[in-house]
Amino acid sequence: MLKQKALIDVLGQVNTSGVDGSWLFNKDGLLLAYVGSEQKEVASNVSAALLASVWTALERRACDLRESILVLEDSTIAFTLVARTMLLAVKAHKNADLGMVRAKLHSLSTYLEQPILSISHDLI
Amino acid sequence: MDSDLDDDGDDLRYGIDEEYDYPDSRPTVILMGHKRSGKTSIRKVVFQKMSPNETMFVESTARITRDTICSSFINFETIEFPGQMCPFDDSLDPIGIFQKCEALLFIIDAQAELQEPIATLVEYFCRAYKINPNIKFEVFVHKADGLTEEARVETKFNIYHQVKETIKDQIEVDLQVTYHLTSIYDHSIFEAFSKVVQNLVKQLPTLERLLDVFNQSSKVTKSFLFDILSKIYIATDSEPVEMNIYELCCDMIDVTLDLSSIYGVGENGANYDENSQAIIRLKSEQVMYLRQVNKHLALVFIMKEDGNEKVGFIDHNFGVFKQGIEQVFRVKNRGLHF
Amino acid sequence: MSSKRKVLLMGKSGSGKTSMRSIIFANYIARDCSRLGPTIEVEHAHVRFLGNMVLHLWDCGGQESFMENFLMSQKDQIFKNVQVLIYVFDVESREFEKDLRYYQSCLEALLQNSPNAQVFCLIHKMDLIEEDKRDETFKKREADVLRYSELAATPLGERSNAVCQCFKSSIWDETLYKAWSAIVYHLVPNVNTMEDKLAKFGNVLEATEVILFERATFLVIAHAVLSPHKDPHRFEKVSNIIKQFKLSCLKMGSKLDSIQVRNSRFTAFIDTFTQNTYVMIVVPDGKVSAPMITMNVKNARKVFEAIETKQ
Repeated sequence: MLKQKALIDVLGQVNTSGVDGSWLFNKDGLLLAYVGSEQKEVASNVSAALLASVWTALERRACDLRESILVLEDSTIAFTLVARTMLLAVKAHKNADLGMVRAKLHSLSTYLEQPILSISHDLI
Repeated sequence: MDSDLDDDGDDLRYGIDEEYDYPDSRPTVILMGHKRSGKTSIRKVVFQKMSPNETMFVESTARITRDTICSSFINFETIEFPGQMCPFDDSLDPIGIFQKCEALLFIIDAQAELQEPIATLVEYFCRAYKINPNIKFEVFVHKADGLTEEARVETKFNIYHQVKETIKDQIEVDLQVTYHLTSIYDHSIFEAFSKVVQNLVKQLPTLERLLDVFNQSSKVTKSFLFDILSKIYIATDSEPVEMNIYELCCDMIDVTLDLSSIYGVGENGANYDENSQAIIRLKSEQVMYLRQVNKHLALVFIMKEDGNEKVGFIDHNFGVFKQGIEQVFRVKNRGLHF
Repeated sequence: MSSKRKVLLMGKSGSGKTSMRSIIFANYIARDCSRLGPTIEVEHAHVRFLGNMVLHLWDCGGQESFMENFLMSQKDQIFKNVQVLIYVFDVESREFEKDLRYYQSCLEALLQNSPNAQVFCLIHKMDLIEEDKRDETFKKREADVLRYSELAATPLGERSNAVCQCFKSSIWDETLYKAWSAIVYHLVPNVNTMEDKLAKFGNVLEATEVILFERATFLVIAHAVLSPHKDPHRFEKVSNIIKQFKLSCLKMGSKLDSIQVRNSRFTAFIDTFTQNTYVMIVVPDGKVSAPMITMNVKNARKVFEAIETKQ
């Protein structure tokens, strides 16, 4: 079982020093949780759908895709696979230290791997 | 279950209503007919969510009554006239009433005697026409459920002919009158009302175009813009309307509002707000969506579920559509102030 | 344990027995019921309920000649091995006294032959009474029925088993679902285990309530209420709302899979659950993530399927 409040707590922990948003969603772009500065629920939904599309497109080109970083005009988004079926993304200000952003992404994904694996495993 | 939407005095305001909701800008419809022709029942079923079997208890209206429904997108007024009173009596301000009126509905009980109502209909239509030639004239051949398919067509045809001839004799104008077969026991009454109202919505072509664009971008098969209170659709895309899809969409509105009135009623008694939405999945791999557009309107659409369409994108497209709708109505309302 | 339950459906001719049976178990809509003819002698219907439980409904025609037979020559055959008697009264009946006497005779026969049977009385066709008089009329009728129940039970010294529950009902609104939910609630085994699990499940989801519906009938078979709600009739209302929609889907040649409704104050999820049930989860948060709930529902499914097969 996955608790929404607990998940939001965990995701929120990385939102410091330049990081201002974190998402957990599946490969279909369905959002499980978002914490961050985008106020509108719709916007975080749309971002999740877009990121999932980008991931699927990249995956078609590169086998065994692990992680991807998008550098945008004013921000950077790093995202990675968690528990084989989910995607975790963090968004940071463009001046934020990229090493730090990736470190946060990885420690978050390691933390979530086991719990999510256990529930998504049950599904198959 | 009564919907709490009747309460229009709340402070919940959002969307296009905020500054632009003027009752004058909404279509005005007047309902008339003989005693026991079913006027009150129609009003209760369409605008007050009464279930059709309960209309047995509706008492006949004894005096002239005027009723205005303002919690709907449609500005709907019923004026009931008992037999001996004439709506064109000077004391009732007929000129004021019919100048505002955009559509005049006359209800005829298809199961009762027809001659007298037809005479009244012709008289009222002619007099209303003299006051305001722009009125759309509509006839509901009502209680059609009690007739056989053949009898329905025949009754409608008879009325059509008599009315056409007599009106020609009286005012020498070939008045455009539209006829609808209706019953409160199925969706025909809602369908007929929808047609009447669409006739009055001046932005209809723009709305249709907007819906078409929305459908194409989101792979939607059919979409309706509904007046949520009455389940009348004020616009749909250019694809033909399949009756059973329309009925299912109506039923979806019922499910949404009924569940919301059990679990989601706020302090102000409203069950429909800016976050109102519903998704219904069918095993035939179809998905239906309902989204709030503004205080009175909802978009209901149906699409094939093939796994390629991401909810996030639909959300985005809907956001764009909603903005479009706001602009359409804003232009109209501004126009009124010049 | 035998999973076949014998349910007697009795009451005077035209009281509405077959209509309500057709709505609950055979997907009729109220308006179609006017087409049903009177029941001759006994119509047997086997309805599968919760998958492996079979309700054997004996729909007993209510004309007097049949009634006499049931009480005389066919007495043993009719009243033996009965789990439930549902007796239907027409609220507008002109000979209510006479109906009551028939009821008393049936109840006596039942108590002799199946002393452990449960008895439910439905005061039916309440829609014919004007709304503000319904409660009063029902109370009066209920008092009569209870009085006659005691008359039947007292000579046998078996009063405790004849304590009957009365419900008002109408095929036109949710009261029908309330009455029938109460009836089947007595027939479903493991209700307590299920409700415990439902409550735990609801806690994880931070839900205000979790309700389990039987798949075919949409009758409520178990529920967990985690925070109080002011409307005591909401379960049967939901049954009625969803059943109507299910029928609309059928009309289109499709079937209902899931429903999600939300506004700023709540989200309600209705989803196919185990083989024999639908589940409804109500969360007091208009923004809760739907995929998250769906995932958790899929997870819980196994647990509840295990409870069901244990039956």
